[in-house]
Amino acid sequence: MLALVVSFLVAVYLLGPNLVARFILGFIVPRKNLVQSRWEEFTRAVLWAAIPLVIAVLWAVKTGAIAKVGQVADLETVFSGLYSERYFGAHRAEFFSSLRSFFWMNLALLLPLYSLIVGVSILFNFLILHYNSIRNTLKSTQMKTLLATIVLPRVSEWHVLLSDMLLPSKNLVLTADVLTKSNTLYQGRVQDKMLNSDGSLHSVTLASPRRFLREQFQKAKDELPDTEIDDFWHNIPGNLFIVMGSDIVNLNLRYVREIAFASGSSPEEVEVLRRLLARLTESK
Amino acid sequence: MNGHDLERVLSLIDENIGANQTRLRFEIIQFIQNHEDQVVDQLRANESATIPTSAGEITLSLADLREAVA
Repeated sequence: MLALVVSFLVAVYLLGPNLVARFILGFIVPRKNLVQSRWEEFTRAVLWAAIPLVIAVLWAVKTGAIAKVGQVADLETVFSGLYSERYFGAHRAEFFSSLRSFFWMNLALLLPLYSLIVGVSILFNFLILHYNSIRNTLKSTQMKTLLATIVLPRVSEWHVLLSDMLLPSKNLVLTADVLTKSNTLYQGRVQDKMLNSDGSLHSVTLASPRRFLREQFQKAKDELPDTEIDDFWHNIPGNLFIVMGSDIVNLNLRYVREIAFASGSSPEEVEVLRRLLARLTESK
Repeated sequence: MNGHDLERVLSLIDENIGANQTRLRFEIIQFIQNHEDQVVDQLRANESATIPTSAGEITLSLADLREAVA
């Protein structure tokens, strides 16, 4: 019985906090995108449990939350009763009275512990969601690295590269040129990706996919050197084109602003656009 | 991926965004210069024009145009 209670306490105090934190963080970074070694898993679990536990104990001691509902003697009575049947038989009434205090003492510790875990996890989610704006306010690389170390869980590099989680603006779209083992070049907007449990790339889903007609292009280029490459992209119908990770030789990723002229246009470029607008006005 | 590696990847993404925006603007301007009539027709009909670029087709709206020259 003692082993059962101790196991339960270990689960509630040491494993539970990590589980709750993972669950809440999972709303922002899906579990499969987290890649950790066993040592990292262990360290993170201990940190998620030990630090909040110490804070919760200090808080409960300082506010007297534990002292109000029980004493150390109650703990001794409960554990002695669980350990020895003879002790339990001799102190039955005392055991059940202490058991009540034992329950409330644990509750006095667990409530601040789990409140802290939930609060910090929500804060981390907020920080991840606003990661780029926070990162942009930091000037030094060391501070940025520190922020990445503290805030971000061990995310798979594919998740960083292929999701919009950390992109500086929502106006960005990610396009990819995908060369497959069969020497076919595809292009499209990265719609989704699937990762294996070890964080490696399982597949990439492309929207507005197109395939490059390499042979036709080479033939045309041989005949006419001025041939434009744009004419040799064949649009593939559909918006869920899946390329398996095992079939990919290389990927060229491009983060593209949907509004290309949002900022940084040169005076020459502005002049061309102005001329274009002028032509539209003229015709009216 | 640890914090240092992650920060490195994010810096590369920043550079990638900057380089692509410059390249894309160049391609769009080139297309406009080479196919001005076609772009004007499209803008007149739909208030937007589809510009083929190396990153796929980009939609250039009249509102974006006005904002860019403002």
